[in-house]
Amino acid sequence: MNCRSAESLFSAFLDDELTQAERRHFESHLLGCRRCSQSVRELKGAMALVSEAVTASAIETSPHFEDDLMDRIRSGEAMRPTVVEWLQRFLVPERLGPAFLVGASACAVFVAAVLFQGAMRPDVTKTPVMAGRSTSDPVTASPTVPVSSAVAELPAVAPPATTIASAVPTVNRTSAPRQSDANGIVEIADRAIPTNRAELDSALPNPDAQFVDEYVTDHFFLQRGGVVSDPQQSSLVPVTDKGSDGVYIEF
Amino acid sequence: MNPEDDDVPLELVRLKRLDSLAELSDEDIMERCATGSEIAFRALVKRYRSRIMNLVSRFINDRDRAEEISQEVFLRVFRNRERYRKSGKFSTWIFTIAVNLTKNEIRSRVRHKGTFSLDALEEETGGQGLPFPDTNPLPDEDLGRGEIREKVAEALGKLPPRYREAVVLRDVEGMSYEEVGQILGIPGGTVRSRINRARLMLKERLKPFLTLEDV
Repeated sequence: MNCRSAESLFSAFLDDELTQAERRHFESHLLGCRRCSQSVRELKGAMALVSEAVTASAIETSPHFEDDLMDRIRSGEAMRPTVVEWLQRFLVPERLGPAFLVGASACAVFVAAVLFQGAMRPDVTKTPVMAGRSTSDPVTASPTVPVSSAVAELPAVAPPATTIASAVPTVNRTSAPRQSDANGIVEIADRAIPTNRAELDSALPNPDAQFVDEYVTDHFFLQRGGVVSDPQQSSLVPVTDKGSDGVYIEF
Repeated sequence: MNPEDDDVPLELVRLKRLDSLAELSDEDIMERCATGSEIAFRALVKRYRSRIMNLVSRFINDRDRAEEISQEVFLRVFRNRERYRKSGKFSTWIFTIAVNLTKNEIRSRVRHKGTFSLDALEEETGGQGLPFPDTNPLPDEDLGRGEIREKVAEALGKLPPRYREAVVLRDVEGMSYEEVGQILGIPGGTVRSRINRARLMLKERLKPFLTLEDV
């Protein structure tokens, strides 16, 4: 045993809290170490000083301590639960049971609704894209942007500074006349659905806006791809908020 | 009330009954208290009020607040009297309540100061030590002892709280290492090392006052 480990046992030695083996090792160290035995004696002296000082300066309660206490008990203060005790009483299993069941049921319904909604949504990744357009096309490369919000983000006059605008090549949107409803859904109203590229271009009110509209309708097309009879044929479905399925609102 | 007590003033009856409880252990008295005996509760208050007051006072440097906390300790005992299990020592139970309430007080004081370290209590007590009130003027021959008493109080007050609580429970309240561990909720090895560290710190601070006979 070295001095450092012996020092950690000083108090336990004085309080007789050492095991037999510890005591044996400790005492054999003390016999050979003058410094440690001196430290133990000093520690014993310091403990005696503390004990004496503490005993001589005992602090008494005030004379009316007991009466005050009983008054507080009689006033009902003793029975008033603390915040922690109130919570402990409230959070007992008997009370938590119904609350837990209600919460669990609500969670189950929510999860089921989310799963059902996911199952009902068509898989857009399997739907064919417009003929002649590669997947590296910057427009189709960002399919996660919601169409309704993307269209809504296009201002009627000022050039856009939105994320969708960065994905679309520079287009003079100021010349593209649009009508938008309260939800910001852009409408190209009441036109016959174009079925080929030429019709597509001519269907647009402004060729400069073609790319934007294509982008929008491309996604709309992807959503509706399942109902197009010939997916190889280039087709464009105008964006409208009057559709029966409201699919662009869901974008 | 017993029939023979009918003619005796109520206070005397109380005292008589209190005397009859003197021989009982704390645990037995607490058992009676749990059944609603006010006399039993008063007996416990009499037994422990000074010890609790001393303990709390040595943790916080505020006598009035220490008395309030001591009262709160007994209120908790009364409120939870039915939860007490005789298998445990009453003294450990009540001191645990006292230490926890005192720690709450220390935490709230420290939090008030905008710090979350319990060690900041030293700053809270101002390093002035804990109260060892001695209002009577000391005779000349006792001046030395009085000074030493102050130094001891100062040395105790400067201990970090976690060491101080261990050494106070052991050396002021005379508890065993096991009881100290139960009250503070720390294992035996930690109790041993905290008490030892605290005493070594005290020894270093009190070294100048140790006389040859002390050593």
